[in-house]
Amino acid sequence: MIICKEVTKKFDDFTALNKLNCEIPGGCIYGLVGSNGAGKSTLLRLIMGIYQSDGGEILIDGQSVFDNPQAKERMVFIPDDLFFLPQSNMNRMAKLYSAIYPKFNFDRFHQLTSIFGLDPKKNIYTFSKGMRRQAATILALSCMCDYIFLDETFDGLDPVMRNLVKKALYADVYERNATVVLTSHSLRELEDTCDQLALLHKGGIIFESEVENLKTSLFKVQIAFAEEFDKSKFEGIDMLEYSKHGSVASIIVRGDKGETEAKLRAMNPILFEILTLSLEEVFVYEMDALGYEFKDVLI
Amino acid sequence: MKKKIFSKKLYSEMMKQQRMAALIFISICLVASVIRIVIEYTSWGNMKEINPTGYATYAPFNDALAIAPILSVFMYLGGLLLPFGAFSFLNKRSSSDFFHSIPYSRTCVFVSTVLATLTWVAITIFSTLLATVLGCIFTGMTFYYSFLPPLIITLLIGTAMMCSIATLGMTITGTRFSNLIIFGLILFLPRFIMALSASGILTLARILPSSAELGLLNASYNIPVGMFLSGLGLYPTGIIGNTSLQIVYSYASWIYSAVCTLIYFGLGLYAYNVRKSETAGTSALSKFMQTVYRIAIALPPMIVLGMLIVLSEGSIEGYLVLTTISLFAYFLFELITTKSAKKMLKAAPFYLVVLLVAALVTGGMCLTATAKKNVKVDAADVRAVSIKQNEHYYEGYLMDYGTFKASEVEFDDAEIIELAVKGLSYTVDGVQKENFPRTYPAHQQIVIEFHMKSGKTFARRLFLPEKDYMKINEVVAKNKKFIEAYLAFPSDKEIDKIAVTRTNSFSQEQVKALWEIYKEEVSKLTDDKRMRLKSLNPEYAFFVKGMINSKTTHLSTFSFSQDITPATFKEYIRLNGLYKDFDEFLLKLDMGIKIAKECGDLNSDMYYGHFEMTATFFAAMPDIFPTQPNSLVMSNYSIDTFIRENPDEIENYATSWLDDFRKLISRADVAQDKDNKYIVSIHIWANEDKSEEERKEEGKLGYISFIEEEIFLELTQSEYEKLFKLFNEYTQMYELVSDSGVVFPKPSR
Repeated sequence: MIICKEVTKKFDDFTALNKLNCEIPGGCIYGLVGSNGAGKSTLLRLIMGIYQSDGGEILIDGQSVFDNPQAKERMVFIPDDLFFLPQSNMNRMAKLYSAIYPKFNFDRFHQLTSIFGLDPKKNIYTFSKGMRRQAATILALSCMCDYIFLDETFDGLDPVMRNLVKKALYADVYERNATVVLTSHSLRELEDTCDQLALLHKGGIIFESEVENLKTSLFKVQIAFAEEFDKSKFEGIDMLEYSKHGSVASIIVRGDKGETEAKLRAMNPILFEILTLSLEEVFVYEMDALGYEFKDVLI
Repeated sequence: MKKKIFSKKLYSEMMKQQRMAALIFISICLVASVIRIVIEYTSWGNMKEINPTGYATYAPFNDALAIAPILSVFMYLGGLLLPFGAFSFLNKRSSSDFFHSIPYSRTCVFVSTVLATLTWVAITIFSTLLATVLGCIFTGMTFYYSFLPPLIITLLIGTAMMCSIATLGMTITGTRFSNLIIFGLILFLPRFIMALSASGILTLARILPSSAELGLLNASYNIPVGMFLSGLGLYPTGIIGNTSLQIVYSYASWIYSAVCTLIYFGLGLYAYNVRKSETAGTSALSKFMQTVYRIAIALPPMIVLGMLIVLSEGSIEGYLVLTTISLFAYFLFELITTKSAKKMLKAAPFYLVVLLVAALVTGGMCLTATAKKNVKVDAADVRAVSIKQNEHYYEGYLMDYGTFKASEVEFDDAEIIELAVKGLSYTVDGVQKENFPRTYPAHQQIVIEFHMKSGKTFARRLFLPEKDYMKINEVVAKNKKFIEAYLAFPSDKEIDKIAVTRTNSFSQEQVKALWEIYKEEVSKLTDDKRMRLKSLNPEYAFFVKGMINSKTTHLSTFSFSQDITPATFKEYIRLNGLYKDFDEFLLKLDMGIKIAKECGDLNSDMYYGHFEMTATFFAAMPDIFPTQPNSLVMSNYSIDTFIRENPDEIENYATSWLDDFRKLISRADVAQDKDNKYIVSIHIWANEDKSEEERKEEGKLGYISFIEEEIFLELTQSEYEKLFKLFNEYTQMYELVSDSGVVFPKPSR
């Protein structure tokens, strides 16, 4: 488990993270979403021990991270700005990683290289942007670490490769109980990958929830009755938003789907439909409920 | 769990990462070494015909630095570029983040990387030296293995010091530009300030002898800086004191530089540990450091300015130029590193710090000079004095061994002390009146070291009236301790090399054996005779070279003669061989005359011939030559003539004279009476027997090439007299001989 308590990080006069608190449970895929400059990459680097916080503490399974080789052995990081040795190929980088990470697995490396269709003898600097990201992902996954941090992982990857990366991550999580932390500025990228999502905004986490919970706890209902009706008809139902166009009302409801359906059907509507919200829509409504305007928060 | 400070795996990985750059350096050094061997070997081979003596004694690697000069270049370039490459990951966010994320402590990363760099440095140095040694073994060229240890130590420490400075520079900056600037500042700025201060102090306090009183201000303690400044010819100014070669042998330089290296690496380690990864790509780790760098860059011209003002040198234009350079450097650095004109302007007020620091340095220099030049002492407080004669003692110049040892003698003689104290007071008064030393007529300069009863020691350059100067020397010359020191022999450890004059054909074993005979013989002589030996011209002498202490090389001459050291001389003659290649020698006599005529092609107006003979007579009876107790060198009897119209004249004179001479020395009977022998050294320079075409082919047309030969002859009394007469007649007869002073008196018994 990763615990961040009142973590603060400043760069000169700019406060990137301001007393951030979060808990990332083990064995899950945790998504960090936020706009540019929200502090996603900074948080990852703090957790990795690359940066030192200016306040608060970060613990991984109870151990402080900064300048702690023992803790760092269990973590690997794929940054947004990738690093490779000059004029190296994947085999050379694999040797570097194997010298650094004691559990580096060459069999896995070769297997993933084969799956992704990359030539390990070719100079990495001749690879495209997407291929370099694949290479970095392969190297990181071959380290067999307990914690895998990926910053803007899917940037530059085509849909097929994205799926491959996701599958590889799933395999690590399910087979080795690894914990994966992904960051992105796009909810769509993360919604079908992550177990938990957190929203970063201006250096703090303003919203955090399990994805399943998000998807099921909020839904849209379209309903119409023979008679005239208004919002008061739906008292007892937790509504985040109510709108009516003509005789059809659209309601964003938080609560148990089954219970809510039963209640509404009992009112004998002439039209009744439950629609699943996209994660983006869920976030929009939740932010609204918290008092944030969506355009201030997400791209 | 305790954090490791070193990882073998990481070290191996860092070795691999630095491999390419290191192999390039190794290749360059090895190729340079091999090329040098080839060039020297070729030159050596060419000498065989032209200069057999030179060929026999050829030793291109005749001092430590001559062995592999390329490594002196490597010390600077490799010492800078290898760490630059090793820690280049600190200049970019992606690489910096990577290396800060790996599961090793920062100390472990730093130490493993540094050790990898130093390993490559050692490999480069040792492989290059090995190539040179093997090259000499393979080609048969002379190589002195004793040069290797001090050279290896100096190169390792010097290069390590460069690496430590470069590493420190990398850890406290984050861009290539600032890496280089800060490296240069760390390397040179402290020494620049110290050197300027030393120079200023010595100029202001002219009473100070050289760098005697300046301790660590002497730049020679810093191996890379000392050798760099020495290479620029900034010696001897009293600032450096030592040539590069003397730095190589200096324990003090080794220790000082090694300590500095450890300090710089320690600072680098600390900086690396506290450094934030996010500072990669920025010129300084913080605003404060940025200000410090800016001030440091702008400082040197202002310190020079301060010194010029204090010394009342330079001009207004010069001051303005220096100020402009300082301001330009200050603002330009800020502009280049921050790329912000706004920040550049905001930095303006901090320029006052530059002025303040320059003023402090200049003020400190003045205060130190003032304090030092006004020192007077009472004779009662002086325990002893040492007479250095001049500054060379402090500057590590090549000195005669005896002179050096005599400089270290501490005289506790009351008369000497009194004279020295009086001289100091006299000189200080002159300094205070500012008529020192230019307006002092009839004064002699002398350096005296005062050893106080308090334990303190200081040296001053005194200007003494002639009579006081003579008095001191007179008293000193009679002092037993002085005589003993002046006449001392260097110990075996203080001798690197011995050579004997007038011959290159002795092996080192023969020379050393002869040296032992000489020492044994001289140790039994009276002081007077030993002093006489010291004062002889080194016509027949040992040249002895070695290190006296950590910084002083001695080159000493120990003369021997037939009359004062007959046993040594006899052994010398025996080793040289009498009648050596006598028939060949006679042939050469003929050759000289022949070529003299043929040299008419040099110039249509002149005939030039050269046939020269020097006869050195070593009288068996010293009282025969009362005015010249040693060997007597007759002037060269040379036929350097310029005869326009009659080229035969030269031949006539020479031929008849040589006929007589040849008869004389090619006598059938060898004198048996060994007790009454006159040893004559015949040294002949004769033109080579080569035609014009041959000389043209060899590129020697236009000048005469010589062969030379020396033999020793033992002559009986009558033979000696005949030869004597022959030379006399020749000289009197032949007035055109250029150097014909007949200076050998008739022998009489």
